[in-house]
Amino acid sequence: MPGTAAKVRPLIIPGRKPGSGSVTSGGGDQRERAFMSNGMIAVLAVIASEMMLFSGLIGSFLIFRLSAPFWPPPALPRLPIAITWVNTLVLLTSAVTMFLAVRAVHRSRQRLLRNYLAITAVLGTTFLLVQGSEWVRLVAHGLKISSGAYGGTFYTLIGCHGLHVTAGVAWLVGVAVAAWGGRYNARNASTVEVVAVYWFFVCAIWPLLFVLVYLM
Amino acid sequence: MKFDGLKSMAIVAMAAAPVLAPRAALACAMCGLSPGDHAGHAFNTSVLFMLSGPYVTFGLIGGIVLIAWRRANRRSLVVKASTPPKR
Repeated sequence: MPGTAAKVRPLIIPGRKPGSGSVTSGGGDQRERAFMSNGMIAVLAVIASEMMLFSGLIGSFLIFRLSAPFWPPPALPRLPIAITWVNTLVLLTSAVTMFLAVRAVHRSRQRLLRNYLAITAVLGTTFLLVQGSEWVRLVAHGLKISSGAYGGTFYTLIGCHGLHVTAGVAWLVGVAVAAWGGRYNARNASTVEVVAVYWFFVCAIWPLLFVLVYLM
Repeated sequence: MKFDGLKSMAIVAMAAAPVLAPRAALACAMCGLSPGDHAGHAFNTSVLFMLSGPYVTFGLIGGIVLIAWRRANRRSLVVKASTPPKR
């Protein structure tokens, strides 16, 4: 239908190179691109599925937690709250540095971008190391995944989040290495934006888990 | 479509049913719980939490897409405004 094409509002913006990681349309001398990169669409789909996964895990945790007469069970060790508070601050700080990295790439500040990405990766690694040492101590004190619903839900929920943080740190390291080679700038920022959205998701879900598993 | 009086009354009655007869309106077999039923309350809380999951997920992602689309539109208008007209 020849008349239809004119009525459809194109979801494209001018000013970008065609084919730069996104579906493009249009032509002529005006450069156009989709309003959202393919990578961003993919990571949003991943986040949607991960949110449903965490929703199910938290739902099962709530059943065990709220139906138990004593929580934690008397024979099992308590979770370390003080160190986890500090660890929470570390992770939230990494979200701030990630935000600053996105701002730096939008302003094509290469050095700042590299530094903020590196700091974010270091903070994420610190979070993982502290979690790992916490787990080693808990296992030594007798809290294992086989220690009933308490141990099972703790290791499943926190372990699942830890796996996501591990994946995020690995991705961040890859992006930081590429940023070291000067690959990203204001016109080519979509990879940094995509990893940032994933990192924000990982950071945003942690306070909820912390409150439910450690404080409730 | 025009609502006549009977249809409107039926709609109001259906809307008021959960308030007027909550027990009868509850679809969940676990909802008529005694105060000490911890397991039942735990299941209810869990169900409500998981029920909110899809809404939060799609609301959040829809919000992100909307913000990106509006931002791109705004940028597009700025570029159009700054481009000199063709002869």
